[in-house]
Amino acid sequence: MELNAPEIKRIIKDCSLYLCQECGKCSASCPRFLSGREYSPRLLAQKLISQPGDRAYIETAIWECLSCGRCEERCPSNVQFTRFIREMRAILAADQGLMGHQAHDGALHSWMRIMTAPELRQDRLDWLTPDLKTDATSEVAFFSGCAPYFDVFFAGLRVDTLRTARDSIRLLNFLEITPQVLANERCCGHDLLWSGDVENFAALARLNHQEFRDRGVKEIVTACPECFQALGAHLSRVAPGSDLKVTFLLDLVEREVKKGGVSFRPFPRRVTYQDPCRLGRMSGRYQGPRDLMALIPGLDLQEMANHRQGSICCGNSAFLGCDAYSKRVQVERLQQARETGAELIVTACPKCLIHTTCALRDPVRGEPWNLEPVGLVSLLAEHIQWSPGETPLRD
Amino acid sequence: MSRTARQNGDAPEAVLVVGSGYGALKAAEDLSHGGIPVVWAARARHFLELPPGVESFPEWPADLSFQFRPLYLRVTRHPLVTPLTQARVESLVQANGGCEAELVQDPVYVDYDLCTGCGRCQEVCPLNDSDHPPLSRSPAYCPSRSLLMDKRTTSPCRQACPLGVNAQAYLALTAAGRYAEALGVIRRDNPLPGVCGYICSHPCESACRRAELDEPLAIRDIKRFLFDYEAEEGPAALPSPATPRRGLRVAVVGSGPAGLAAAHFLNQDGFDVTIFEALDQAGGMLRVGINAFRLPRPVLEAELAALVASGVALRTGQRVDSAQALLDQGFAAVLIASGTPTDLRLNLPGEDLAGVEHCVDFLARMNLGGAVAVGPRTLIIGGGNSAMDAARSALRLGAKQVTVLAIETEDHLPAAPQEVTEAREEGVVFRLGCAPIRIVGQERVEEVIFRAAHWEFPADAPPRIVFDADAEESLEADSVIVAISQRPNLADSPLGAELDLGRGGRLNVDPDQATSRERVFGAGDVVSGPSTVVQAMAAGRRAAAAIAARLADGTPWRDLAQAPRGVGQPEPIAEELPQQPRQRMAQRQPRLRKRDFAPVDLGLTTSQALEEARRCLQCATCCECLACEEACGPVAAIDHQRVGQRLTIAAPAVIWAEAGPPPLAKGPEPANLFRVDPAGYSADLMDVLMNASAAAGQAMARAAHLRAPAKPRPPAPALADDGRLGVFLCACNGSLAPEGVLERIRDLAGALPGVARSQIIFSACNPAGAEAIAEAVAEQRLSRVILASCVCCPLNFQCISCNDQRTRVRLHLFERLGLDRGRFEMINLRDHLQAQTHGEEEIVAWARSQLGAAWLRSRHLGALRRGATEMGKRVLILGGSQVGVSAARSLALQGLEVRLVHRAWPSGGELPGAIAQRALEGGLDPRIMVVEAAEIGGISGHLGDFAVRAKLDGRWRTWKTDVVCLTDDNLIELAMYAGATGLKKFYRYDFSFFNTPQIGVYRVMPVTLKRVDPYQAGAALAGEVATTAAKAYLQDHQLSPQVDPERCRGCGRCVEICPFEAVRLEENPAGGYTAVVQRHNCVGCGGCVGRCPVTALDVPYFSNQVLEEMAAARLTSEAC
Repeated sequence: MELNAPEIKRIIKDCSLYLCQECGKCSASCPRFLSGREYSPRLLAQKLISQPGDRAYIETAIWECLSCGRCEERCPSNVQFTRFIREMRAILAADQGLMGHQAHDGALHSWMRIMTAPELRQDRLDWLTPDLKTDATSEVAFFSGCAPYFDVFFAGLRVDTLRTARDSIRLLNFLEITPQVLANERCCGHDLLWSGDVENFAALARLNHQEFRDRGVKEIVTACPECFQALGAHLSRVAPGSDLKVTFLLDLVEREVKKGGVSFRPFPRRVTYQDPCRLGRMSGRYQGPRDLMALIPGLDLQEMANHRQGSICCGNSAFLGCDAYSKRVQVERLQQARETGAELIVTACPKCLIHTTCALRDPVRGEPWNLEPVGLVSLLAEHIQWSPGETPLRD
Repeated sequence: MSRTARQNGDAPEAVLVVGSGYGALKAAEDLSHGGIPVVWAARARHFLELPPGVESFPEWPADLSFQFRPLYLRVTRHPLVTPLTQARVESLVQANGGCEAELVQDPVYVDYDLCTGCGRCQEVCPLNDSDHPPLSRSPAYCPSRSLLMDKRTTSPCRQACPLGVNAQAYLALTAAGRYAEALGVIRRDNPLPGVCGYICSHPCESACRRAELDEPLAIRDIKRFLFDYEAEEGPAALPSPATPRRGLRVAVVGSGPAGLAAAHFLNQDGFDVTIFEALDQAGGMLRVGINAFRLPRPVLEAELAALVASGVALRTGQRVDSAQALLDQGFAAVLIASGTPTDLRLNLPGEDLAGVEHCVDFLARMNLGGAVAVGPRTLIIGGGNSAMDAARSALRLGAKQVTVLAIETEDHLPAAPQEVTEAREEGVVFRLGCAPIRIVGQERVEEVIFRAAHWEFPADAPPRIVFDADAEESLEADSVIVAISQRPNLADSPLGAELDLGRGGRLNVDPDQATSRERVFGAGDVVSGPSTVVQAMAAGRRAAAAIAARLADGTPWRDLAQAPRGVGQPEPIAEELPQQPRQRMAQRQPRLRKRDFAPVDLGLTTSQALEEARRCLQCATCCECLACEEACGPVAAIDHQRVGQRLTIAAPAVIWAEAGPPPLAKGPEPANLFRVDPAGYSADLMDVLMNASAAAGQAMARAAHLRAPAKPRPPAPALADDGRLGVFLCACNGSLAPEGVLERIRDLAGALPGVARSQIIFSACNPAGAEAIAEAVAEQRLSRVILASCVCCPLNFQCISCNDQRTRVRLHLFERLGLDRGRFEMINLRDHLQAQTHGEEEIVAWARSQLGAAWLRSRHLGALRRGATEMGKRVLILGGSQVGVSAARSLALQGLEVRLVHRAWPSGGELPGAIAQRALEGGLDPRIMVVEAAEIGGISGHLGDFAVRAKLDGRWRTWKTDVVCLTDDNLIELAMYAGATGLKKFYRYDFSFFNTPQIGVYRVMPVTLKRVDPYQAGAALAGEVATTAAKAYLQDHQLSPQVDPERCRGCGRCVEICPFEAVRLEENPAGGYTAVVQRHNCVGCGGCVGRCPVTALDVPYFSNQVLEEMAAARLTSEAC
């Protein structure tokens, strides 16, 4: 496909690229650019509009973006840059096959594609411990996402994403919610969506939609901002007729906690908080997690130099383009974290947890960061309690 | 093992390592790895086999450890190592500052360098199922599994045969039911198997070892069986004679056994031979002297016909009166083999009476169809075989009473006992111990007068008759046949006048069978006097050899009868072997047989022949039937003619790792002899290895001058990459696939796109096979090759999975012939080509799929890395204990630049323990730079480029060095650079004692000093250091990965996984880290590539792109 094809013109228009004023704030805020990579969102936009013949530049640059949305946050013209990247990738991938530099030799993407097989049988539930209450007839389902898979793949990193999953159910149980956990759910497809594989994203979405329907699920609770985004914002586009309610777990906890009666055991540690891009800039949830942390007595939240809207990416998204520059982004981010004097770096996204852990645990010449990554869900689950004399009461 | 290909030149200069076992292996490894040529001699047939007489070493593992296989391969195939098995050191003499060693190596009949281990030889060996199969595979720990041959001293039967006929082999083949081959074996040495099968005097049977147990083998009868068996099938045929012909004519005078044999062998050798026979019928004594009931006429006729059919011209009725005339007619040589046709006379009164005949006259007339008659009472004078023939003929001619009168007693009768027995059975009467004194009669003979007598054999005079009694006795006779031997007739003919004759009219010849006349030779009874058929034939054969040598410029004559060969004595006769008498031929009853001239013996039946042949003890183990040589074919590993060799080694040092003492002259032991005494250690294997290492280190210092200067590998030859593809299929000498299947696969491959040549190679691991591939590559200008053979991986890393064939493919193709490994895709079809497990269609389908994948792969073949890192010669030794000083001295002797820090300690670490100041006393080589004391801040860098921070005299400085040695305990922590993940397991199987995680940094562990003394430890350390420091270049591994610095996250997971410290993190300009591959440390395993989370590393040849494309092609069924 030519890069001046009508379809691409439509994307440029829909994503407001024509509004670009070439002010350069995007490049100046882009973590990749700041880490030394010769990549500029502004130049990419310009090339596509005025020099669509420079395919080499454009087709390379499209895959450089972390889709963290920091440029978009700053853009005075409201160019929808992340959406632009997502749609362009779909176009390019449909035309030329999947591109971009996939981390882990594309193994994770392959897993996601494998999950599009309708006849697939999965063993998804063996992480459920006896203390976790589930109910196969419940209309509320907890969506564990890729956690069972990640824990296998990243065993060497000692990543424990299932801890988040278990703690999520603990929180729900604490709040008197007994969800069902689906034995045959599929990946939410977020990473495929963002690496241009729209077809397989749609296949996953449809399978999930079918599964939810078959199992009588009305509401999905997820602890993952990416699942939250993919199921909440994108599933209905490819699975017509979906009236699924998608709830982000922390939203639910926040809502319930604010009803009163709940308190937290003290946790006198200094922490800092990594805003996940899918939760913060894409879903607008900056304050909620901070409010929850503020409820834990003794917990001392120190913000990094870049936080909230200005937060810096954990280094990678959709397992694409991980490289020397990603590492620099991460190192810079970890340095910011260390400068806060925090012992823990809290995040609300399993991917942030994985990528941060990866950067923290270089086996050779790793810096002594003295930082431990922890999921916010776990932090809450481990400290939540009913205030003395209070009993749980749901409305 | 023989190194025919590797040895050229005499008295090679090399360190001599003597002994079997791990000590010798380790010493040879250290030396060759350190660039020193080694001759490794072991008495056993294998280097890890215990030497003869040594049952075990107490500290050896019960099973030979497979962990040693890579080491074994590396050493035995190292270009600097000359391995000699079955070799003994005869003497060790101090000379020229070293030792001169005399070695004797037994003949090695299967060349280890050539044998592919295909096993075809075993398949065809007639003795493979016997209790002592001659061919066996090397022990399992020997990675070649090449064949070994057990060939003992030539068997006594064969040695006893004047013709050297290989009785053992034809017995073995007969026992296996392979009659035609058995007869072929006989015909190699004997053109008259039928004649000999019937009437040979069989000296072989007299020599037969089976007689020690029960009775000798019926060898002659088996020979007869084989001939008769063939005769039933069709006419006898001799081997095709040599072509082209030499264009030289040779005349043979006489068609007796000597003449026939000479004519045959000359004809086989390319001469045009004409036999001249005075009588009307050919055969000489075979016809006139031997009766039809012993040698049936059809047998003789068949043999003569075969000889004529093979090209020998036979002219009967042609008396030769002049040898010169024949020469003048254009014959290049004349052989007189006219035998002894004239009877000796008694020279007694009455000998000319009517009725008195002489044996040959009598037999000749009878056998040539003349009129003969004997009276009712016939007396035979003489006790030889001819006398028996005469006696038995007389019976058949109608005599009522036949008496043999002989001077010998029963035990000493010249006639074969069987002849005597059979004659008696038929009614012949013997008067023995009597000599006739006159024959009496009026006109005709009436009686013979005789006296008791015996032979006397004076030392200085001819034998003479001594009479024992004066009493005369007499026997009445109507006929008398005098059979007291014969003489040549040359004295009576003009031919004799041309030649120098000796006693009894015999022809005088020199040791080369030459007569007094140029180009005239003599052989057989005419030279020797009456002998046996086989002796006469042997003489004819010798004469043929002499004539060939004389006429054809000394063409070597392959005479198997000469010089027994083989190694060792026969197996003792097993106690459990039951006694079993020999098989006897059925005979016609005497009453019947004496009525006619039909054969007496009826021959062995097939089952008898089999039964009898199986009695053979197979004394020499290998019977030399040569079936294996033929099966070995173009591989040419087997050669039964090999002889042992004697060689002299000029050894600057000798390592004696043998159980027994070295063969030294009296006096002080040479200073250059280092002992690794396997019996002397009681602890463990590591003790032996450590001591061997110490010996090697000491030897290396004395042999450093033999170290060849290292050169970097030349760049890969530039090849036009036009995609011309060749496919070569190794047939493993025909052992790989069922008949015709490989041809089908070849044609399949030939039809693949771009294939310019598809060819079957008899063996890819054989030098000639590899050369055939190289020739085809050059001739067809191939730029890519698919080779289906034993797969040599481009890792060049002899691991536990490697074997000798794989190694040889690599060495021949890529090292010796210089082909570019990067352009080869090697596939293994072997396990699916076996007919036993797969049907033909299945095999072909599998091969098709394998070839398809290889074809896909071949599109991506390309260059491997060929760089090298230059090495300096700087060695820094930290720690001046005796170990350090010893190492410093040894390294300085080897020409390295040594800096020795006498007292060194790490910053913040412990000071060195008490150092014996003595260590420095006595002075050090002035080339060694000595630093008295220094604090060491740390070691950075890598092999060939270390930087060591040292504080001396209160100031920090940096020393640059190629290698670092830590010889004191307090320094060991320095071996671990910052961030190292700990001591890793080493996978090189080199049993190195001084390596640290940081290649190029060596350390001495306290346990080492429990195994050897500090001086030896220092020498061993120096030996190991020299393996790297003495190299001018460190070769990059051809599969070492490259790092994409843009992608590399500097996480260090590659560093973590690499067991060889081949990946390091280096700081990059952005303040992070980037992985850097130390290519000379890399072994190309690809572990780092797989571990990298972001694919920042990639290797040549097995690149990620290749793997992806192949996987994609397979998944989309693009493969053919």
